[in-house]
Amino acid sequence: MAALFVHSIQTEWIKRKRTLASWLVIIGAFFTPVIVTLVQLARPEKLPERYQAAEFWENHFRNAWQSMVSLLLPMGIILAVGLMAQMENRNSTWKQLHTTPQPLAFIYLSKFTVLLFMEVQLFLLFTVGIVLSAVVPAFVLEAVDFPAQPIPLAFFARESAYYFFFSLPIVAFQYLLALQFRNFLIPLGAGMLMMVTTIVLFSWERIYVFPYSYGMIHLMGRFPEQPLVAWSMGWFTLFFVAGYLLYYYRKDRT
Amino acid sequence: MNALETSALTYRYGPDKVLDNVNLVVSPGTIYGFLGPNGAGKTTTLKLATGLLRMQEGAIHIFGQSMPVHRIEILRSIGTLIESPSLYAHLTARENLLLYQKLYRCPSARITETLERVGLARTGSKKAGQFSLGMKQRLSIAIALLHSPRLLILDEPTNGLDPSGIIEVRELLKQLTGQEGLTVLISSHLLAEIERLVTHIGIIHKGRLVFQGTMDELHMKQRHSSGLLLGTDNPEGARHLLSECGIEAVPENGHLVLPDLPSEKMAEITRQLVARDIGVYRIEPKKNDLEQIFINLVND
Ligand SMILES: Nc1ncnc2c1ncn2[C@@H]1O[C@H](COP(=O)(O)OP(=O)(O)O)[C@@H](O)[C@H]1O
Ligand SMILES: [Mg+2]
Repeated sequence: MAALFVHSIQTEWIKRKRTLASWLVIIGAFFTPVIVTLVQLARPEKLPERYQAAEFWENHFRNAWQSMVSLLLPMGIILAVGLMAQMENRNSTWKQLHTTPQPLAFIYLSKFTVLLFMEVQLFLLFTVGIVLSAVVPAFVLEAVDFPAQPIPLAFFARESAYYFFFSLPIVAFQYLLALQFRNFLIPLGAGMLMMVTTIVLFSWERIYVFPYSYGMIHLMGRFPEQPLVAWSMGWFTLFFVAGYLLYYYRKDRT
Repeated sequence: MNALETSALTYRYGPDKVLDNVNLVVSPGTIYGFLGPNGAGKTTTLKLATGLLRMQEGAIHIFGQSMPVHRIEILRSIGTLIESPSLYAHLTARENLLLYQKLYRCPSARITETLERVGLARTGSKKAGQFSLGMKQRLSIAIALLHSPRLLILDEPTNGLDPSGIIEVRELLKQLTGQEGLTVLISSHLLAEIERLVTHIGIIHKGRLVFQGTMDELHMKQRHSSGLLLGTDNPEGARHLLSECGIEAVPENGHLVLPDLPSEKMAEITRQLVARDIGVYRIEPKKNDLEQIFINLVND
């Protein structure tokens, strides 16, 4: 059974080959680093000083994550999840997938696992991009020396892990919607509404009740991590289980 | 043990009863044609049998196992093609099969074997989305065949194809149905399409099974429901004389159709017709072609 589950994940991984979703990961990972690099090259005046700051890498990291957390990551999740379901809808392959000899739970889990793999892939490439976007200006510009501070890998890993866990409610809710509705626009529209709502409500003192808000709250450092992690895991569990039940009890699996 | 058996299968979409007490029996090793006009309930039946629709009333057994209960074991032993092709358009033929090779856990040599079998071994890096309709359908059949199933369920495999696609698929089916030990359940809305392929037939109309039996039994029905065809040079005169004898004749395409009559009666009538100078040039049993039987069954 375990081997079958691994095979099931492999098939989902093969399916994303050459798809738009697999390109989204690359584009999403390098978009911000490229912009940051270009801005630094265009306005190098303050760089020599900034590169020698004690917390250079922490600042550089947060700076890069800003656009990622508030816009690119949720948008990327919304698109990637939608595209994954859309691939089965458009090719009318659900009926074939649902007549393969595997538990429905495997199908639900393996698709979700592949989405998470893609997110991990995005985070790793993004980290590479962040490092490059600091190294390249130092390499190109004579006046700028390499950062004095060594790369704080533990900090990068811890922060990335937070962003990963804080994105899980978004992945799970989009997944629930994408499996429920054949029309691609419904999960897309709902996801955008959730993003906008987060921004509109962001100054509210209890914004942490809102499932799409945790990445941004963490970025701004507005609340301590512990209750945020609990809220985030709570929403994730709710969406993930509800999504599975809705999927499992579908009358028509074609 | 039957390959597939439905007992009192009934299904409703909302208030509409689309299957009404369907008792299908498909014996192992047979090629079963599941025939019915569009909307008769063929796809609904096959979706229930493959677990794509949730059962409401009745039962389905495949190789003795009950459908929703032993879903996974059953799915291992059947190959399916339900309605339109199910292919990942951005993947090649080989990649499409690779997915199922992993899920059915069959030897990877089966991929090449099956591609050769359906004549798609040399499509290389061409994506399934660029295939012709006939090729897409052949690849769909390859998916159904990949894991060497004991029962093949094909729902209207030639539907929606262009003429050359129909020929390609028909050739492939002919070759498949000759295979030892494989049971095939194939649906169609055209009798002519499957007539020469199948050994058994079930006819469904408005959700009810109106006929089930061997092709021979269907041919018997053809003889029973026929009559005699009389060709004369004076149909009106002949009809008049026949009605005097208490026989009702119906004109059809310039001939007369009579009910079946005993030989001596027919001889008597011929003598009388000739005596009245009505030329008789043809007396033959009326051939009801199968299409006509199908229409008759469906219209009853
Ligand atoms: N998803 C659905 N919702 C409502 N009615 C449906 C649905 N699918 C099929 N039907 C109806 O069920 C009947 C049987 O359909 P189907 O099994 O597809 O017939 P066939 O395959 O013989 O052409 C038809 O009257 C059709 O309109
Ligand atoms: Mg149909």
